Amino acid sequence: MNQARRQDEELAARLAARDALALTELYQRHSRAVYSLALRMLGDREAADELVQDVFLRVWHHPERYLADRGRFVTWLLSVAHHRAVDLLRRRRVQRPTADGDVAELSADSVAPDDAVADAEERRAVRDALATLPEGQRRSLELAYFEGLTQSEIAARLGEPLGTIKTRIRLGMLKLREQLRGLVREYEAG
Amino acid sequence: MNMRPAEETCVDAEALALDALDDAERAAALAHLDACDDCRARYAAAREVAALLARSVPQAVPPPGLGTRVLAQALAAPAPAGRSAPARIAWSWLAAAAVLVAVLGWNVTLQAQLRAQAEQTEDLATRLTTQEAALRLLAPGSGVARPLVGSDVAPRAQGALYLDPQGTTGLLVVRDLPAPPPGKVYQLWLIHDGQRASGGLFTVDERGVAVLVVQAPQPLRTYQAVGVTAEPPGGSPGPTGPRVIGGQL
Ligand SMILES: [Zn+2]
Repeated sequence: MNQARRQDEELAARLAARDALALTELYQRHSRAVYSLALRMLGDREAADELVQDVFLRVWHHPERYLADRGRFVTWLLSVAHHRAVDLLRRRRVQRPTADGDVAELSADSVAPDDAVADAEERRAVRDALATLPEGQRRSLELAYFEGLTQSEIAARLGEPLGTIKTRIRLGMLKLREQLRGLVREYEAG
Repeated sequence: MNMRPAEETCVDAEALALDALDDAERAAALAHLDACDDCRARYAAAREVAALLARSVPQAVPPPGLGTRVLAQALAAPAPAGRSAPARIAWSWLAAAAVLVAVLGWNVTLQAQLRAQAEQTEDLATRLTTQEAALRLLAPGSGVARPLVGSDVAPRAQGALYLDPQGTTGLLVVRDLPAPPPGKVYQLWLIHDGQRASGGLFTVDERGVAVLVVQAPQPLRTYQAVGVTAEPPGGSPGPTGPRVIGGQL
């Protein structure tokens, strides 16, 4: 198990003892990833701000929901953040059906200047892998993951049968996994 | 016996990992995972891919005060039912302040020792973590803690202000402060050469605990002292009541 993962797990275990310093350290390690995902999905800083607070407070109040034997802490944290962002996007669509998918472009000043080289390389690898997928698969994955659409909603949006969308999503994810095998294995092994 | 369902009845583990199922589908899928090793493995693998997607987005820096607000809310929020310990958290702050105060010569050392005996299971390191957390978020390496002491109006009240002298954000934590009179709130005053600027409004919970993220108009090194008074809702331009707690910066 690599060091970053072990440190995360130790910090997560300390949360159960109401250790505020552990919360602070986890915040310092992962708030940027959570904030960046929230900003990409929700498109505005205020909502991203709230989501970050919400996610870290959930972690603080329910550290027992993270099961170390089911995967990395950061994977779980990002899935909590993603699920919450999807909830918000779906609620917005109910309230303002016409505002569908109008996520604002990020302005340049929001981009982190001190982005680590390894992280930037990982990001490039993921984008490259996405770019090699057939257009229909890539589009379906992006609508699902970044815009929070269900498979049925994607089918309606693209005018395709639901079965087609399900297949695209499954194949797209399997292909991504295959292409990013090195990164995924690194994480699975720890 | 753990009979694995046929492939057709298995779930969209990949779609589940992308949160691309509606609520009913999701609930059914999660229930299925408990019974199906195969889907659980597919789901775990798909979640790692989803995490890579999450990390592939343009990176943005969270606003500077956000960590302090998260910490303030974590400390102020009562623990959910079935969990112990909000009081202990509040106590950590005060113990930390008391330790600091002892170093500075403020005569609460005896009180701190008595309390420490009552909380033997909690070691000093644990008690100091909350202070360290605040200082690290505010200003790694340069944050300071200033003790606050109750006046005759609130003799049991204790507290601390954690701050970055160069910055404008601080964290106020108080304990054993009585609730403000009906129809009033507490207001923090930042004092500079006899002039008072508002540092924010707050009230206390049933434990007498309050946590406030302080936003000062000027860098905090500008101010020599702080004080707290009870004021009408919305606050006052200047203090109108007696000081209940305060301290030197
Ligand atoms: Zn299954």
